[in-house]
Amino acid sequence: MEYQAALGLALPLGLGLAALGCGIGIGMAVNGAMSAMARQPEALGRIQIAMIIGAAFIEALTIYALVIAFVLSGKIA
Amino acid sequence: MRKYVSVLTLVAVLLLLVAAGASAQHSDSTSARDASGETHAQAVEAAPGGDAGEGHGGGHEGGEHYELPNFMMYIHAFNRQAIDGWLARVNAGLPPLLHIEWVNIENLTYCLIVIIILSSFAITASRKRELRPKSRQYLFMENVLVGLYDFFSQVLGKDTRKYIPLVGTLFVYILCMNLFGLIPLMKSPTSVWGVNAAMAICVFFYVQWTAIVRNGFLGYFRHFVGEPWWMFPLMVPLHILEELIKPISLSLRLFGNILGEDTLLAVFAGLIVLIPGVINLPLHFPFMLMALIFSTVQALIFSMLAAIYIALMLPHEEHGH
Repeated sequence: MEYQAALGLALPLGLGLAALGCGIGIGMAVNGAMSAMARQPEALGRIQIAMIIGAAFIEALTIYALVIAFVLSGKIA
Repeated sequence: MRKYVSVLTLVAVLLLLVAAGASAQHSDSTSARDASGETHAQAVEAAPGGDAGEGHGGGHEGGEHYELPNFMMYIHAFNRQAIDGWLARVNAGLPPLLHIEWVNIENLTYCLIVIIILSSFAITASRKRELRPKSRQYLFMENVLVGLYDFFSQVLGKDTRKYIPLVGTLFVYILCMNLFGLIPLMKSPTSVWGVNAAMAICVFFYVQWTAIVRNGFLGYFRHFVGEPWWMFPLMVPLHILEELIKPISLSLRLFGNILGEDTLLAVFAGLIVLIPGVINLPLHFPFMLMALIFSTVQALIFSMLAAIYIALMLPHEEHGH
């Protein structure tokens, strides 16, 4: 397999896999935050901020894969 | 005199960030502009056809990325020979690491535009300080400041007043830079790694400096050694690595998010001309709404993480380090 073909297959696939994992992670985080907010509506603001920061940490992993995809996508064609 | 100090601090911090950005920016200066040949003015039209005609230039590493046209691009396209000649003459006297390209000037220009808008707004607003203010501009700024104060006091506690000039400025500055890309003919300077790296490096040094000032040298080193002191062969490298990774992840997160968002907008804007029809649909419009949310969230996260890094370094009473 030529390396261009390998890259063309692997970049979207890797990005998709990263997004899959982060999707599961963010789903769990938002799930916990939502039930916490439903139980204690008075702590809504603090829970929301903590959730957003946690979600940003999780999302950053996909972003790293995206950066790699941007860096390597010039070598496909 | 004293009332100008806060404004001057803001201007100084912003200028520092730009100056650091100029030197950090070179590393990612290979861009789409070199890749897409001479179709600068029609960057959007050329965007989806990247595989058709205009390929990449030979020796460029780094991916080509699509972006919406901005006015500096047009300036370059109309005065191509003069500008390229000038850049070549300037670069001839510089070592290879410091070579200037048009992209760097472009990003710095947008940074400076944001800074000029923000600082002139802040300066004119702070001139009209009264006990019972009448100017709406001043009231607006005060509302922004109080909102930011309440927000960051969740993390910083009683030290908020001391550290809000840095983190609040970071929030406003990053938010304006992120949203700048949504204005036609403008570009988000945060979609370049250098600008974010500059801000992250400033935060890194400020955090270390705060730790030394607040804990003293001994407390600073005790923080690196960790709780059971005999674990130090393991803990010291781990803590140093953790400190060094912080600015990298901080800047890469912002850069990747904004670059991805801008690329998405440009790709969908390029799809508009591909669909035949009488009416051109604004296909990228829903993504602009999404970009509004993401810009705010990313600015919030950058400044919030900076505040958290500062708060982690402050002396806390419950345990010793």
